[in-house]
Amino acid sequence: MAPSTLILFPFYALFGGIGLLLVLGWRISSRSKGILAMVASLVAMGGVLTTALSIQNGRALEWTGLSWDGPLALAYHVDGLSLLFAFMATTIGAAVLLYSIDYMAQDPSSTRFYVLMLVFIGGLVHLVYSANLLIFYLSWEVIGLCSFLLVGFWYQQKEAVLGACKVLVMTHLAGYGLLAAILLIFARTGSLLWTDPRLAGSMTTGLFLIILVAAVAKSVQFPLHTWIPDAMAAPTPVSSLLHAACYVKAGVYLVARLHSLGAWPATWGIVVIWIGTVTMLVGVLYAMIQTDLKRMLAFHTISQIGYMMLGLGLGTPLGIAAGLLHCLNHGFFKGGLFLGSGAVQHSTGTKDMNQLGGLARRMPRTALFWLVNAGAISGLPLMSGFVSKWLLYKAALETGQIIPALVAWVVSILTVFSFLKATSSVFLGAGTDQTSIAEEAPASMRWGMGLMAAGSMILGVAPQLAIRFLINPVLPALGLSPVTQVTWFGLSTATGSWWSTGGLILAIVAFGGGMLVYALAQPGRKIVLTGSGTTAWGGVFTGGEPLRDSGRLPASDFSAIIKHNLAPFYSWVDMDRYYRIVWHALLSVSQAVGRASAWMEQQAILILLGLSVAAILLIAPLAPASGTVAVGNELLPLT
Amino acid sequence: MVLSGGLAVGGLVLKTSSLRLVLLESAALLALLLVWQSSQNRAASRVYLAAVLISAAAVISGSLLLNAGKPGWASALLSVGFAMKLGLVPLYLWLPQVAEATPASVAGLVVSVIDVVAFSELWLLKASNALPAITGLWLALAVLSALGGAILMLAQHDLKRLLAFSSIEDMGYLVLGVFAGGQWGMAGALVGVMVHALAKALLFASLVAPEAEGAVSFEQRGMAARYPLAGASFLVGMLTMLGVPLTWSFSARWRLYISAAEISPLLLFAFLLASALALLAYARALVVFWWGTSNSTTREPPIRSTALNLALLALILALFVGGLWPELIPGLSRLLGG
Repeated sequence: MAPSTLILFPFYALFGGIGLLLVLGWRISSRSKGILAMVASLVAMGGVLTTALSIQNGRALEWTGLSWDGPLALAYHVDGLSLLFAFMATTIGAAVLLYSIDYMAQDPSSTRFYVLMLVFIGGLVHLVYSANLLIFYLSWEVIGLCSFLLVGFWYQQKEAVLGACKVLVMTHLAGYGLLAAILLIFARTGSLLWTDPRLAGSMTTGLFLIILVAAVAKSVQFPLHTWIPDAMAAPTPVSSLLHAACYVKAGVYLVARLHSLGAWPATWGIVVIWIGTVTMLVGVLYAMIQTDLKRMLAFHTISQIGYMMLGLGLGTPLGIAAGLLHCLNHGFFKGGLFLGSGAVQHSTGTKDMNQLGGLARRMPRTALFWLVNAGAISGLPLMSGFVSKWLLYKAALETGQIIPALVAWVVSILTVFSFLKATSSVFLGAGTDQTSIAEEAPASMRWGMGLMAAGSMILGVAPQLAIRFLINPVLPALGLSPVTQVTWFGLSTATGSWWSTGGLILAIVAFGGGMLVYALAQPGRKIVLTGSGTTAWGGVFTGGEPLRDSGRLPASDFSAIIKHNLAPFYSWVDMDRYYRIVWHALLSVSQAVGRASAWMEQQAILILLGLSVAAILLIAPLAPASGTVAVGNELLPLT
Repeated sequence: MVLSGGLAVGGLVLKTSSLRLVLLESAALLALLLVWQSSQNRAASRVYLAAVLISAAAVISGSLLLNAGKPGWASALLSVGFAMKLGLVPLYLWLPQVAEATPASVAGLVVSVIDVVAFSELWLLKASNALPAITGLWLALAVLSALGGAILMLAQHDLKRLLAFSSIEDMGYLVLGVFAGGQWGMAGALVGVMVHALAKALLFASLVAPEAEGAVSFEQRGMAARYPLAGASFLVGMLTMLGVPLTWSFSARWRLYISAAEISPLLLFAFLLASALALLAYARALVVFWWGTSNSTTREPPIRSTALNLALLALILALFVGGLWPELIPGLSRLLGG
């Protein structure tokens, strides 16, 4: 098959789906639109997979199409890195759209929803396929626009409006850094192609840093991470596909793609390592104090992408492979967790963990899928997260990055604890008034969650599939050798070194540590404590205070303890506090200028006349003598 | 309104510069009459009268002096005349007053037709090398207008004034394109001015229906609930003015940015800063005026006008079709350097 067909096939499928939705949307039901969108994404996935054979062993598919805008032609370069992200977008997209069939069945704006979702998937595939930097930027902004419009989908709700505004401002402003870098590169080299050798020579540390700003904002890394919790006002499929699985990975792609320009100076790697390390810690500490299920997952997304940045910052083949494997795994388990939270909210009407409990009895399949994905993010053996975290620890230890490795280990412990707490709050224990009405999720939602959970398990049991077909082809595309070999359950076959064993020990201890911390929080002895005088179980966190009659420790009790003890941290690290200061300062300056302008408008005629006369008198002696003069219909040069 | 627009556009297609000037100034005078008649604020009308007369006198006398072989005075007069017509900082004082005092439809005509045609005349003069100009002065005006316009956008609570300052800001980019020169600047400026006309027409048209219910300011909330198409139109117009990809303006913006980058990275960052400030201002307008829960207390049904809705849809379509494939426009591909 011709390269052009292989490359363009996914777009034919996706834009075909968009066209059909726009034409038929007013005639077919919401469920039918969902099925149409899901099929389009599935066909696109097939198209993406057909490129897999062509890009093995460091090869790439290239094609330059028609001129689109002057010198901007639609130029494509599809290599292993492109394949990985395009696969994620279309596969996870198909599962999320399947889930959406029932989730959005009653929404009157379903056409708009499905069109935007397909535009997003097409935009992300286009982003990772583009060889032209300006077309790459165009795709970057298109997916940003989709995120903005989807977060603001229910634009009559205040939370959605504010969330959408924050998404637009933070990601678009940071995107100017990327645009500035591209334009400066073009001004220096005359080239806009990733694959042009001149690009590597023109990449300075300054340009790298302003590109990194765009990547940091897109991938919710500290300190530009604060938009994602507010983006949770979006419909759950949006949170799953965009803000967990795919959109937030665009920054990861960009950082990975920078490796294809050549070996990084040491400082670049250090910067990325520490951005990732700080972010993973900040993310998990914020996640632990959340009582809103979706906001908790959003902060865990921030934290988990920190792991990916750590891997990419290490710069070694194993580090990059581990970071990208975690990116793939995260797409499935976090996407699945969001779908689970959506199912809970859809069924109970709330995502407040204080009002939930005992849902495992009423939503057993949802609970099972949640447990699988929670196990994956916690790094439980047999699940995908265990493999990628183990490889990350190994890569960090091999390069002497002991502190980042230790921080990653601590974060893993806290992640386990956080998910044990969330799981017990939502699915275990006694039910509540809110959950008494809950019913199991409808069929398409169960299938969507199930596919994500299956992905998490398959990638945990047989990670060699992902390594062989998706991760190892990336490394030659970045000029590195594929060295990562794993077998069943993620056991490394390439080395028998101490680092490998040490990584494995860290991963197991992290999980065990989390279990231990959680166990300490459980009721340990019987105490007559409740306000009504009934007997209830207490534990170390009660401090002797009366328990609720149910004997439960809901999420807010737990989060309040941490928030109280770490109050200075949360105050100093709250970046929104600083952004609000900048915003108010800007408003003050603009209002002062506005008042001055309003005063001038009061005297407008005098000022205009005065300025005009002054300008004419000042300019006339300075003006050049060259130019032409019109004589009749001809222009003659002045002499 | 139609006559004024027709004279303005007709003036552009003439090859003789003196005839072009006559038609353009006639169009400006007709627009002045329209503003005078429809304005709710006589002071604003008087300011516009003064601006029209001063700029017309400056441009006409500048052209005459240019023909008479006095380039220094000609340059000074033409610079002042065009700067006032385009509403560049600091000679912009008439524009926000006119926008605020006149109906949105009239303000849209002034901004999207008269101003734009004046810019096009400047472009033609520069392209034919007939304008002796101090490049540094014009670039300074461009930066001042872009940054000043954007800062002043943030200070506004009236949407028509906000759009007026947005025009001033955008004119800064277009002037940059003309005087930075080179293939990128001139092409970006020409495409940019076409898009500016369409986008400003769309933005002001989106305010026509809400304006009938009262002043279009931040005191009104959630207007998109009553006027969803108008809300969508404002969003499209806003994204166009910001140069966001898939709107036609991206085709102009990247060229204008490159022309700035070729002169100096600092110049590029100055214009990106202006874009960032404009984004903040537009985002606030969208969130406060259009989105969210409506606070309208009127019991009257929303105003429906088929003609207005068709116009809005046509403008949205034009901006997206041009954005999806800029070279679809006949003759544009050669201009764009393809």
